[in-house]
Amino acid sequence: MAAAEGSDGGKMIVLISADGQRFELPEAAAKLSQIVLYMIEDGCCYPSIPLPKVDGVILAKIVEYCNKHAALSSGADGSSDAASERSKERELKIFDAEFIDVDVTTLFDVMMAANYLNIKGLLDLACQRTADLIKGKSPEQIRQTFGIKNDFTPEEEAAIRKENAWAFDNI
Amino acid sequence: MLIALARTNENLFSNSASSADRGHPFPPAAHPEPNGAYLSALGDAAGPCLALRDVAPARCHHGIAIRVGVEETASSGPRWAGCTRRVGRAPGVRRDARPGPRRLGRHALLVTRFNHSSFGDAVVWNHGCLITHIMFCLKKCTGLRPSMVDVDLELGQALAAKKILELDPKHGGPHVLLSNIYAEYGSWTDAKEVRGVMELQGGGNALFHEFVVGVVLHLTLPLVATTLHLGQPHRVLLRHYSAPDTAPRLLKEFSKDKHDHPPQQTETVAADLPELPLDILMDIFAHLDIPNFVHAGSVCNSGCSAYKELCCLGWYKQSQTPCLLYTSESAGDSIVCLYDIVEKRVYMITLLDPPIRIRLFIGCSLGWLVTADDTSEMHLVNPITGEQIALPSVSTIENVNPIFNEFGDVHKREEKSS
Repeated sequence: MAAAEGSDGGKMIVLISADGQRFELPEAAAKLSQIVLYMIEDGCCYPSIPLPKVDGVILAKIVEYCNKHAALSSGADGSSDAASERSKERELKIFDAEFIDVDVTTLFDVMMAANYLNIKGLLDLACQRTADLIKGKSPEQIRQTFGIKNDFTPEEEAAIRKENAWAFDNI
Repeated sequence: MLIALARTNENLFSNSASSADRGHPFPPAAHPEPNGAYLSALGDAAGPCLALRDVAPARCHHGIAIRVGVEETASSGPRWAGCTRRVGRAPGVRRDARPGPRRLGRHALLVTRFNHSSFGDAVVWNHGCLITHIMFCLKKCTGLRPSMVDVDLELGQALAAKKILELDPKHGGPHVLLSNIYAEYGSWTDAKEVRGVMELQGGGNALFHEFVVGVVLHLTLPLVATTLHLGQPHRVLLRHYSAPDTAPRLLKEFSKDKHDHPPQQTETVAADLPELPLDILMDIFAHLDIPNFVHAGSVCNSGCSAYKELCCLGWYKQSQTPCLLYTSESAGDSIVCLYDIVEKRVYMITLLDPPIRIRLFIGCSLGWLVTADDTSEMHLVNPITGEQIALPSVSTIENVNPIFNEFGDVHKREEKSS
């Protein structure tokens, strides 16, 4: 039973990515993932939790996210005055913005992993980022941005365009 | 060695498929397509711990997601929130399946998607014991109406096990799962065969982890052990297996293989967005303003399905950025201009008669404009969809009389003095 103790006395959870990399993170951080939370509650998280759908590179990012969010939200119990709350919120926002500023492939991988691990905050963040990338673009530009193939038949596309003709006026 | 294991199992499956006296129904085509009625039946029968969702995307008309949760307590509503959100439902399927009062000890999540020709996808939590547990619960729940669902489930389980093996041949869990399925159905020949493979592949020196599974699962343990001629039933029946000395080497090879072909990764980008599941696409689209939403919905088929689904459910972004709506002489009488302040561009929308330019805007609510023309006829107009609803004529009010002009058209109304 590898119930390892972290430096702060909390339990550490070990996640193993699809390519066999080990990631150790505090239980509080790991619990941000609903799936992992359930595993922990059921006591089937030792010695490690294999995540066969998540690549090491992506898991590293996700662990980074969880650590940051858990660290900033847990420290609030002692000195919970409004000013420090606000500064923490701001710090998280800045962190989120930098964290999600990645290329499209990574973004989608993070999104899929967040969905798989059921980390709501991260999933929302990734969805919002994708939505921001879609904003202000014509369908053709969206296809280019995300490298999507237009799989409509000409008839289907015409029908869709006709339905909302106003939106396709000068594009 | 592990690759060989997967192949061996492939053979094993095909053999058992053709030779099994109990007729495990391969290929899937032999199986009737799951339909609404089937789902409905399953939903009712398995009510205590099943939530069924139809998440059929455009290209998978028979797509079904079965999400199974077995809860430790009766009141576990919030836990479901994550699993059951944002998916449509098949006709007749219960919207929310609440875990029943039965205490089942563990919970698990199994997402499977059937397709009419193949078992499309299986995401199974990577623990043989959990999988086994799900299967057990499935059988237990649906056992309430065995005639209706037994065969389907059997197929589902066997297919799931096979699929999991394909997805994750390195993982021993599916072997355990499959052997347990066979065991639960009393098909000891098949079970023994699977265990034989485990034994063989594990070799003499491979390590086995033992699972501790609730006793309730395997009351027949001694009987099973006797049937299989096994000395240590608890070890053999439920072990989760790994070969520690071979795994790291293989993993290294796999990762090396991956790094040798970086171009492949960039190529796959081309199909990335359409590959996002429908519920994630809907999540993304729910962040978009209407014009962007319409654009995104016309990108590809999966985008279009997400668009339609969101429209149908009314789950598109509720707090839209306001747009300026105006008419102008240069645009024409029937055209209303919608200025998008985010994109700083104008969309021209052609509306039905009477000409919008001569109408008064009285107010708006929930995307509908209330307009009145110069004869006081009122309409509700939705500029985005172009829909228009004529409200009852003002003449229907008892004390209002129309005044006709020389062409016989109404041009004024008068209020009768009472």
